[in-house]
Amino acid sequence: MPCENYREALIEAAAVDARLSPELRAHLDACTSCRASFVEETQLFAAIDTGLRTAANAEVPPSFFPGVRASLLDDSASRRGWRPFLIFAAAAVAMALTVLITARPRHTIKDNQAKQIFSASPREKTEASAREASGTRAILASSHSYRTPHERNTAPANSASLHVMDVLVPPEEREAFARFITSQPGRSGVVIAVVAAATENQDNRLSVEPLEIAELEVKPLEALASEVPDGTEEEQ
Amino acid sequence: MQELVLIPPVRAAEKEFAQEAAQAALRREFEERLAECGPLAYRIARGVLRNNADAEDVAQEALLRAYRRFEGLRDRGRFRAWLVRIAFRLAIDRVRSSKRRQVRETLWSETSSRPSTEDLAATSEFQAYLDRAMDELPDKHRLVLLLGAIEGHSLEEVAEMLSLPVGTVKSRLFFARKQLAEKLRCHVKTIEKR
Repeated sequence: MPCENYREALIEAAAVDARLSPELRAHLDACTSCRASFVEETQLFAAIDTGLRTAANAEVPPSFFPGVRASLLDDSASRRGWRPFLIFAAAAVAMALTVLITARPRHTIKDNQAKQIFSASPREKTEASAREASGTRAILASSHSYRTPHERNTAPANSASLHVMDVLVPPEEREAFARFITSQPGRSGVVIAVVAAATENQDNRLSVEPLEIAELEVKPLEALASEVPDGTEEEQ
Repeated sequence: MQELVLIPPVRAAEKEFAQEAAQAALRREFEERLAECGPLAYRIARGVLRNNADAEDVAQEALLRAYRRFEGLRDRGRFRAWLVRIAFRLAIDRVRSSKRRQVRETLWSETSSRPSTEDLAATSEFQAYLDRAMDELPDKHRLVLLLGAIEGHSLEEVAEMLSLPVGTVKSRLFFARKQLAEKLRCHVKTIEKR
């Protein structure tokens, strides 16, 4: 058993394989136990180093270099093989994008603009004046205005789907109509348009053409009486 | 008016030839590095994995990666340092994944993970303890220890390969050897008593 004071110093000296300090050397000369311990430690580190060198400097197997070269060749070939495919894939993606952009429907209207009241065409304007005159406030619902996002992203299956459908709903029937539309699946856009009341601003946009009345000619009554064709004035 | 430039086919062929020549030069240069550093990559992997086939696989993978990035690793010292790190990292990853697999297989089959008789016969008892003790070292200590043992690298060479100061390498080496000694001391005494 080494002396406790020198134990660590002995291990460190054996580990670094350095020259011993004069103090330690003097102690080893005097202490048999420490000397034996130092020899043991030195042997242990030597065994560790030998073991490490044996494990670390293993012979490289003859198959190693040919294997590396083969894998390098494989890698180069596979990378060359991918290049035309990547070019083709890029061209295909570009073509698909072009087709998608050109085939996209252009007349898409946002959902918040779905409620277009009496502002689309002169035909609708005339209809609006007629409804105004009859005291009926109506909401115009055009089917193409309420296309769902899914419908907007797909090309129309046929031209009939773009047909403008006008729905004239009097105020007293609006609620019932909204209930009916709610019961129809996939028509939420229409329901929003029906339930929302037409704003005053939109009504103000209506312009009523002033009546064109021909120039009036005012004549005194006496003159009218003298114009009686039966000749009574002459008689008086 | 636009200028129309016609490239004669001879010039295109020349360009292609120059490209091929550059590729060939690159391959030759890599071959040189392979001969010089290939064994180092293999030995690092072998030192971690202690299995020839696995070490070969890992070293091949490391060299393949080095080849892919060879344009940026043409400097001799840089190539060596990069290869050392990547080989060690790949080997450590392989050990960890095989340990996970072993744990999974043990859970399924409930077999003991004791070394086989062949393993015991192939390595001496001390070497087996040393291998186990090495596995328990932190990665940074283990790499320094391995590089110091491989091909008799000096402290300066190890420091250059790991881009570390010599003092750091020295202290890591010291602590690594001390830890190994602590783990192996009792086993050595047991072996000696028999």
